[in-house]
Amino acid sequence: MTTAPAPSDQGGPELRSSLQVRDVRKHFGPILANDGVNAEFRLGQVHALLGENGAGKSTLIKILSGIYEADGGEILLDGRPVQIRSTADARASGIAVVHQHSALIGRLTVAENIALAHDGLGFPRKAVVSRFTQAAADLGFTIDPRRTVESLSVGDRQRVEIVREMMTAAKVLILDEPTATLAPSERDVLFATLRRLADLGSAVILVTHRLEEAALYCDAVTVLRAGRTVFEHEEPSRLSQADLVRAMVGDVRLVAERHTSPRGEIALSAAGVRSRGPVSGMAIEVAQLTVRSGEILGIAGVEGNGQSDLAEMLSGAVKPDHGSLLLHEREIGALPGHERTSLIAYVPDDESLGFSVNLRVWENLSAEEMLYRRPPTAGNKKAMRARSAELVERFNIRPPSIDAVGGQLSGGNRRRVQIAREFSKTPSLVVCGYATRGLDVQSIQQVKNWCRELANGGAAVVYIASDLEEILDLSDSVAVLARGRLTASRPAVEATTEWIGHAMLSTETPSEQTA
Amino acid sequence: MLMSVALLGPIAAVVGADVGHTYSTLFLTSFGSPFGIGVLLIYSIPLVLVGLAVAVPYRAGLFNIGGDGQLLMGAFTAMVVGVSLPGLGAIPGGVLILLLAGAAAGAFFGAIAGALRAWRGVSEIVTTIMLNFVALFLVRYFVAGPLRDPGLTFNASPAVDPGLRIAKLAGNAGIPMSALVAILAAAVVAWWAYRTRSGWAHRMLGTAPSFARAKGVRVEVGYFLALVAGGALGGLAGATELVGNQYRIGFGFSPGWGIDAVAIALLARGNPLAVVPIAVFFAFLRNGGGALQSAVGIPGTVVTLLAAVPVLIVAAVTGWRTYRKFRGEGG
Amino acid sequence: MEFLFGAMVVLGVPLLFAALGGILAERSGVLNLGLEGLLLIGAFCGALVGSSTGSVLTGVAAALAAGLLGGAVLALLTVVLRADQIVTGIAFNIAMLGLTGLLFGVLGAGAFATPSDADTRIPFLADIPALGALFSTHWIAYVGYALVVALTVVLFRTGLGVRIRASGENAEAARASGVNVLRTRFAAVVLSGGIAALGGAFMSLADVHGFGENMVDGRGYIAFAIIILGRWRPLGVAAGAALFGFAQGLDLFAQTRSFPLPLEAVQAVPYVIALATAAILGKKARPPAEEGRPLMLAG
Repeated sequence: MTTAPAPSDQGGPELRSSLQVRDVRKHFGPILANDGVNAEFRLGQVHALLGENGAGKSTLIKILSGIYEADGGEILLDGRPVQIRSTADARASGIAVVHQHSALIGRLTVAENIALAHDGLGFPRKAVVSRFTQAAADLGFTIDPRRTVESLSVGDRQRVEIVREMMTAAKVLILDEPTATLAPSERDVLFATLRRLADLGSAVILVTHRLEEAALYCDAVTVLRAGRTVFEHEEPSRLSQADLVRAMVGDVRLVAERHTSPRGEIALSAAGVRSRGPVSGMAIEVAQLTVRSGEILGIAGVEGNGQSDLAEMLSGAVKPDHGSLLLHEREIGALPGHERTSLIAYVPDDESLGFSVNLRVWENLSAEEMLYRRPPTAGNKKAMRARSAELVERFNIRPPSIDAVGGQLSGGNRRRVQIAREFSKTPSLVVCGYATRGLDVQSIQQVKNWCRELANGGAAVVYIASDLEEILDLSDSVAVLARGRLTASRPAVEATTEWIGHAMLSTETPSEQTA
Repeated sequence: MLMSVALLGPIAAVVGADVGHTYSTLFLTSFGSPFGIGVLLIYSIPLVLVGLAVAVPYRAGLFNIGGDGQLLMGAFTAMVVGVSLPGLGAIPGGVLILLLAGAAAGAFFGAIAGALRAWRGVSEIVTTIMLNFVALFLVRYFVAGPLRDPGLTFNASPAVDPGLRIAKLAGNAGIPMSALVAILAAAVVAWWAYRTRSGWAHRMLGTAPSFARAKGVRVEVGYFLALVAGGALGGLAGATELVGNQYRIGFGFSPGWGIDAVAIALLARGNPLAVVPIAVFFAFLRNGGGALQSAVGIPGTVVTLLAAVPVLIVAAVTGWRTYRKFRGEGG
Repeated sequence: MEFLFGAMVVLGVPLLFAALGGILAERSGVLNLGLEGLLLIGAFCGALVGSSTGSVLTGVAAALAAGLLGGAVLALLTVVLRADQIVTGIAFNIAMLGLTGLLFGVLGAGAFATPSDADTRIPFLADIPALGALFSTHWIAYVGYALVVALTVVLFRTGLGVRIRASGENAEAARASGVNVLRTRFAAVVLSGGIAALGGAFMSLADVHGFGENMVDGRGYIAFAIIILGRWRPLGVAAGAALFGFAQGLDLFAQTRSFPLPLEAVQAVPYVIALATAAILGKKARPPAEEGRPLMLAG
């Protein structure tokens, strides 16, 4: 399935040159985002850069595009070290980036967008427009430059951006998660475009967390984990799925038999759920799922596969378009606010859904109370403040002041405030969407312990995380979310790396007629 | 606000007036006599009520620039009800009907802006400005035409029946009892804002809309009701001014209270209780301003300038702090 | 009918300037609610300097300078210091009302008796029935017409215009493309002040030949209705200003002969049309996406 090495790959000596990174390091405070990254990106190749979230991909891109400066290591262009200190340096070195979120301006025309970046005066002069048309034609497509960007399809916008970047005479094009928002058919067109670009002599770096893309479309692959290069391969098409999964998430030790299978009654049950994801817009499908009281279900899967959408639906914030999602026989999306907030503890991934930087800590902690249970009368306020003080203590929120304004707290403490509010309930269902993001190792352990306590108290827990080890360590059962589709769950003791990898890579399209 | 007062001195000096005399005029106009206090209160009442009309939507993150239109509609409707139901004056508390009618009319204007904001995404700033003009033309038409009081030499509506007025103690410019309406309104709004569940939902809407939505607050309904409530307070302001002070509606019924109210609500940061002293301060400046011209030869409009300066400074300081905080976080 | 069109021009031109200034700022992403105050200082400085120098041209130049200065104050507050654009605009209007009223009172009306120069008739065009009124008016109005063309060209036919619109649509993307958003917005707001002030100068120098306290009387707020009707385009805004000028001109009509319909009802029509336009188009009649939002890019 892999395309043969591009002909230009065997061309003259100058075409054999490459962009190399050697032992690149970058830290933010105590966190090592890049801790020895090595890779060689050759002209004429499409190179996949794989890694879980937080593996260091974004940091590397930002270093290569001049947004961050590396603390150590070398960047070599054609074998010669270069200094990239600014975005201008990056451009001068021939490195261009197409970011995940479009950098085009929707209400301007294609020509105006191109001109903004390329014309000294920024006005779409004929010369620029014809250069654009020519460059687009070289890559095999045509777009009327007079159309506004917002009238184009997502795929066309992306290609306009690619052409725009390549018009700077870039030799290295980095694409950050370009397929996240593309339909499958558009994805094929994108890869055809990228192949064409490589054939014309550029190095294309595809940053992705979709393993199959590396296997199907790329000439080389580099895998980052925890800020380091852990795996490099020149012929990804010959790798097995398990090889790639292992490279990405590491070898997962088998779960010890200590988890007993829960015997509680069924708390959460889903059947035939199909919906347009409220967050990402991707199609979400849960054919069948049950979680019992006392059970912790871990949801594995690479981030960006519909996790936030699923969490929003499970928490009752959004009702799915089709199918039923029941908590103790009651439709979750139809629960009135006061019941929903007392029955369900939900820690969302998106901070703004569960925390306000403008409200004080005690107000953040008591927000639901004041909405549904206790009007903020003087007496109630006093009680809520006292309770907040306890929670601040118990959940170790810093600074330990209930009157601190949300914006004064660090990201980790903002998450602790949310965890404190949600975990101090006696819920029937707990939904954690990356609840441990931004927390240190010790705190992650604490969160896991609290989840276990809630489960022991009779709650059904759905635990979404990106770290597979974290999931397997905590969960009684595991399901995998891939491309919006949730697999059937199986006991954690039977969740092998092979099974998870296979589920993550599953390329079947969601069936249309789920009962 | 101290700054406003402090600024007056240098201005007086530049203009060539006696600084001491300027200050004494400013203060004595309002506080030198019971009469002065009465006038101060009369000036304060509409500003408090319209200030609340802006403050309530402001707490939900919306700007009600339509105070003038709402109060005009409120006064007009109250007048129409009062004039067309003359028997109402004989009933004790009949004036309350007028106040309610005024509030309802203001609420209707607020509802137009509110519905457009909530469900059509149209900026409430622009719609409330336009509704001001619509109200102005509507009232002008009736006051100069079908509802003109034929006994007058100028264009104005008939006066409401004395039985439908709120009295002023001790004579015509004495202490206006309609001040009670303003104080009561501020107290109720404050109680609602700080002591009720819906007041809290409203605050969450203004400070953290995503959080509010995620916790089950219906954001669109909240925006709509915020402007309805603001409009009702604006309408109440007009009706109160009608029955408590002007009694009839002429072309210059509102001297631009709706715009002053935006400044008042901002300085109060949306706090209904803070609206009261700030509105009184604005009234104090306006009242004193009127006397400055005759006493020391400084044009009365100087106080308009004085009122605006602290607002500009507060806006700049708040904006810059927010930005610094953002940069501090963004790295 | 002729005089009605004349009134339309006289009343519409200040609105035209204000709305043109408004769209320039809005296109760059700043909601300039200070148009009322800018009209006022334009009228004030135009009349004051025009009167003391005896020259309309210097009066206009002074109004322009004052408007640019006022625009700079607004830009400093809203663009550089990131003050709330709505509050700043309104407080600016109040402040200018106070400032011009104060100085007017101190200097006395005599200092504002402006010279009047004759209207300039444009050959042939001025002879068109009814519409000829557009071309037999004060030369300041022609500056306004020219600005309609100039702004259209600048906004939609030059690189500068692309930059301005990019700043107003997506500050982050604009910056990524090398646009200095802060500088672009600052300049747009300063210029918007100058343009709006010319509308004030027209009022005091070409129309009433003098200044009066609060003589602008809400015209700066009408401009926002015109901007919606004109969909943020100079030509659309010109049509909107004509409509509103015409409706206001009916006032004069009423004084000379009886008018078949309630005059106020007709005058309210443009506002109702603007409201209905906004209601029907909803988010499609959208202002530039960044409008009203302070620039929150780090750096």
